[in-house]
Amino acid sequence: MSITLYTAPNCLRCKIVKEFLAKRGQGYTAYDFKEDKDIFNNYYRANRSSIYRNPEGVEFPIFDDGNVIKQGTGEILAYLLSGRVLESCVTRSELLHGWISGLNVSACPAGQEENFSTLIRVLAKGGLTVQLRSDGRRSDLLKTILDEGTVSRMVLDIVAPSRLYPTVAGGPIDLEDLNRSISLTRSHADHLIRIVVSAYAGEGGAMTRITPAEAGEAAQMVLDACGNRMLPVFVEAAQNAGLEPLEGQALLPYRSKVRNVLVKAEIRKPEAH
Amino acid sequence: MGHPTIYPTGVTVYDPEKCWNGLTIFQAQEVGAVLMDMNGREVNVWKGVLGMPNKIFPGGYLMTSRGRRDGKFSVQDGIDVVQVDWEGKVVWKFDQNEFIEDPGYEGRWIARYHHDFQREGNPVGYYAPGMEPKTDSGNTLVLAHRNARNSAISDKQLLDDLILEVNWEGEIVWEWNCHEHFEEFGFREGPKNTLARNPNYRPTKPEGMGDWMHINSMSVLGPNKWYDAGDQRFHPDNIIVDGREANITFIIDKKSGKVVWKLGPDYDSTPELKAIGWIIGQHHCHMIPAGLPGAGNILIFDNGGWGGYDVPNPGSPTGVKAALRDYSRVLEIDPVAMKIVWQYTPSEAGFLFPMDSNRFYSPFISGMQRLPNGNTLITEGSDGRVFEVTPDHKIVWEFISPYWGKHVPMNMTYRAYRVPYEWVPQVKKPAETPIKPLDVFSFRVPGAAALGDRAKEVTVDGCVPYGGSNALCVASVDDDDKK
Repeated sequence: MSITLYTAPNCLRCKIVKEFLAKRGQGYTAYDFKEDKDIFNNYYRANRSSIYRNPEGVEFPIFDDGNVIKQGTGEILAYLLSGRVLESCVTRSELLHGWISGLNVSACPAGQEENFSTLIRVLAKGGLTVQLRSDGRRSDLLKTILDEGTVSRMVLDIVAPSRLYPTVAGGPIDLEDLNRSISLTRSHADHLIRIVVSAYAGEGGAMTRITPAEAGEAAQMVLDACGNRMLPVFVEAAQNAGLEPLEGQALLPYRSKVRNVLVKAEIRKPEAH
Repeated sequence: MGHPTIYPTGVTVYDPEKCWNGLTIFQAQEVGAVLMDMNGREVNVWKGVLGMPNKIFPGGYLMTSRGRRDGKFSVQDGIDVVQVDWEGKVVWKFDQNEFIEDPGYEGRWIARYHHDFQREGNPVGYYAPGMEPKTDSGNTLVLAHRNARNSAISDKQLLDDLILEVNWEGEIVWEWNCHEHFEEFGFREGPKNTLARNPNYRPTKPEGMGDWMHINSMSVLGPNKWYDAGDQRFHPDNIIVDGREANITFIIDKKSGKVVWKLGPDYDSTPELKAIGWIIGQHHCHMIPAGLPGAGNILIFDNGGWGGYDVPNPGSPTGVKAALRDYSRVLEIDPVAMKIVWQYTPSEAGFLFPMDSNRFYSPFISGMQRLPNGNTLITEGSDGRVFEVTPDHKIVWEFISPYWGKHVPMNMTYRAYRVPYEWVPQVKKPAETPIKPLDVFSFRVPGAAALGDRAKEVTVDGCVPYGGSNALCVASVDDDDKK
């Protein structure tokens, strides 16, 4: 299957994908959306529904091998490394301007550790600033990756109380594993620990959210794991298109419940990002 | 100011026929909360509390605080807000604003409360018909502190004012941070420059902080005629506060958090503001609750003293506390017309203006309460004086606190409130014994000669009769009138 790349001028993310393909000896055809604007515009019109735009415009590069359309350097490289197997742990980056996120070490499928590590390495060495995320699971892989020194910012998200982890995160959480993840995260110079008000498909499939009481349970799980009630954590909501936005004052009941356990909990405000 | 060495304390004036009789709660300096009757008999004293203010709620409950954080580390941080019963038992508490670990102290939750709180059911914390504060449920608004950094104001750490709404379980359900609204206050460039250099710096440890706004009053508007007439600025849920360091009073829209009405920080930009004159270092700005005379108007204790930011000048070499005045005013302002509709100033007190104006003067703390009969209970706080005046400015009750502190050697009292007897069922209605004001012309302490005890008098030929004179060292009001 032939590979087509649609790129932008002076695009670091595009350069990383091109170099990765070249290194693997995989041929491709590349079109610059400005220089080859007629070709790109025809492609864009034909595939508009499959192409997303970040806050600053179309995300480049766009990868098309005839089977799938991929955007975002992380997602394209993950696809090239493992097909669709890494889709659970490599998602769209919410960060722009040289940063890349959407990389969840905890969701890495068994047997894909080397590919995931390679992905992080390629992104970092290609010049992107990597934000790695964990939900407290897979501290073994987290240590391996952090030891390489390729991660610029480490984010640990506590996404649910223990009993809801399989539903929300896709697998159970072990307190010792969580404690090691907390220690590793805190040892990173630029780190953030969040109690995330997660949105998830509840009973019957309807989207729902973690309740304030459940956020408090999640905080208790953290305290049980690390024994440090002074642990600095932020409370932040995961927004979901199917639910009303949860922000500002609406987060205060969550903070109150979390603070009953982790006394330094604060709401993370936009300017703090 | 300028007190004599000897003067009576306790209740000094009482005309039961003209007073709105009840019990009065005040903070006795370094003693506790004192609830007394009209003659000054203390019906209950909650020892050790430090209410700023103390408030009595129906059922004989006291809203107060159990002390302050060490002043080395912050400024006026109350450790908690508590509701205690007649016997002193805590029945409600809030302290979970911030978990603090000060050097030498165990880590602990601290409310960092200061200056005010309001319980749901009543907008201002004092008696108004049909608006009793809840005592076994309801949310409480708490004025508190939180440290902040905001380079738009200053590069110094700020001691920011924070309004918290907490539920009956003591959990925060709403909050408002003052520094986030800096641009809405309308500071001019000169004051902004001064603020940036010195946001009212306080030398706390381990880092100093700028008590830049210093809000000292916070209450809800409650039902009012302005909102009923369609003026959304006066939504009953909106909150009115005043910041003494900026000479500003403003109303916060509860829903958006935006400032929707303000008085200050400057008083020379419109004819209405010029007529009101500079309000300096003010305290206890609040809307008179529905059902009381003057409902909907705003009461302000305009302290005078020193307050506000401006360019450096002879009275303020750094531009901090730039406006100065040596007397106080109690103002009742129509917030729509921006007009004074009633006032108690040195002139109404009978003091020659401006030479003798400082005889009504409290440069800090203080407040006032509108009473159901139209009288106003005024706390002239710095000298521990609380008095009730009629609408035509006659003093019908007066009390001077006899409590001087050891740590703070003043008899100051922050803010007193008059409470209806019905709110304190534990107390049988006391006797109301009239007290005629002493005749200060003839009153003498033991050993002093009586009035008119004169050994000899002579007449000097050629003296002209005494009369009004403009020959005082400063201009008087009369001089102005002659222009």
